[in-house]
Amino acid sequence: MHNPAWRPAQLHTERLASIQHHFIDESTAVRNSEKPRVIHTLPIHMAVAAGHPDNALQPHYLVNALTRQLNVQTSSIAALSSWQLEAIPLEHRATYTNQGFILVFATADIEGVRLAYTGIKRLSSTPSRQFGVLFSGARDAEFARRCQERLASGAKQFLGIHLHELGHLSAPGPDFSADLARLAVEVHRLCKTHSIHNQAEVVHT
Amino acid sequence: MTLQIHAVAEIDSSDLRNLVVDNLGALLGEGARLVENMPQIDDCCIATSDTYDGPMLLSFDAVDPQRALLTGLARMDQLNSEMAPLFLQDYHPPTGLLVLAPAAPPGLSLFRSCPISWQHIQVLSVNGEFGMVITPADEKTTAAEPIPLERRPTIVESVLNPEEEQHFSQL
Repeated sequence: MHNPAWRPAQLHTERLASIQHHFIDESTAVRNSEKPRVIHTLPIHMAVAAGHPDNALQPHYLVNALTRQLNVQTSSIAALSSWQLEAIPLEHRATYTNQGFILVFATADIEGVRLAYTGIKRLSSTPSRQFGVLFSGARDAEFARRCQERLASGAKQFLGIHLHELGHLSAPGPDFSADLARLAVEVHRLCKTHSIHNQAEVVHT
Repeated sequence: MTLQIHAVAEIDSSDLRNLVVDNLGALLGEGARLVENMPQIDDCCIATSDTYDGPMLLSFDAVDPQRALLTGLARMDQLNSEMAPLFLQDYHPPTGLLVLAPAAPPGLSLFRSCPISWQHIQVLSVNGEFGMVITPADEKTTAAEPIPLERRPTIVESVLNPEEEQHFSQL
C-alpha cells in the first residue's frame, strides 16, 4: 500500500538522509555536530475488508494523520526524533523482526476481524511482539465492541496473545482531532514500552 | 486573435509524453503525479501515482489504440515480474493500467474484471502549440475502473484452522 516509493515527496526526507552517502561526495558533504536524528518506524497491518464503508476512516488518511500527530506530539519531547508509519506487506512477514509493537487497522466487520486475526497470526512468530488493534467502520459502539471482543478472545484462545485495544476511530468529524490525539498518545506509549529496539539512527545534516 | 485549431495526425512521442504529464491531474485526479526516481520505462509509458497514492501505469498512443494497450500490458508484465524489485530500490509495482488512445483498444472488453481502463484522447494543434482533448470513454467500451487504494481489499489466503474458522464465522 504505502511503499516508500509511492509516498509524497515530503515524506522522502528521512529516506534521502539515510542514503545520502551513496550520492554525496564525502569530502564535500557539509557536516555539522548535531546529534543523530532518531527515526521511529511504526509498522501497521491493514486488515481492510472489501466492504470497508466509504464513511469510515480510510487507511491512507489514518497513516498520514497519525504520522503527523505523532510527530507533533513528540517534537516537544525529542526534537531530533521523527515518526513514520509503514504498511506491512503480509508476504513479507519475516521482516520487521526488530519491531516489538505493530498497529493493526481493521474494518469493523467479520471480514475485517478475520483479516486482522490472519495478519496477527502470521506476524506473531516473533516472541513478545505486541499488537494494538484499531477499528473503523462500525455502525455503532456496540458493534465495534463485539468486533474487538471477537478478535481479542480468538487471539487469546488460539495464539495466547493479549491484544491492546485501541478502540474505534470514525471518519474525520468534530471529535476526530481529539480522538486522534488520544490514539497517538496511546500508540506512543505502547511503542515506547514494547519497541525499545525500534530505532534507526541517521546522521542529521 | 484567431485560433487556428486542427487535429494532429502525427506527434513525436516525447511531445505526447509531455502532454500526458501536463494533464495528469485531469486524467487521474487531483494530486496525481509522476513517480519519483523511476527510470524511463518506455517512450509511451509512464509510472504515476493517482489521487489515492495508488501506483498506476499510463500507456498512450495518439494513433494506434491496439499498440497502446499491448505496450501497456507488456510493461505491466515486466514491472510486476520478480526481477523488477532487484533493479529498482523501494519499488512497488503498478496495480492499474490506464490506456490513452484515440479509440477503444480492440480486446479491452476481455479485461473487464481487471484494473485496466482507457480514456479517449485527441491531440490538437492550437496556433502551433500542441494540446490534448481528454474525453471519458464510453461506458460500453470501458473495462472496470481501477480500484482506489483505500477501497482495495486486503487479500490474504486463509491460514485459519477449523477451530479458528468456527470462532471467526460470526461476531
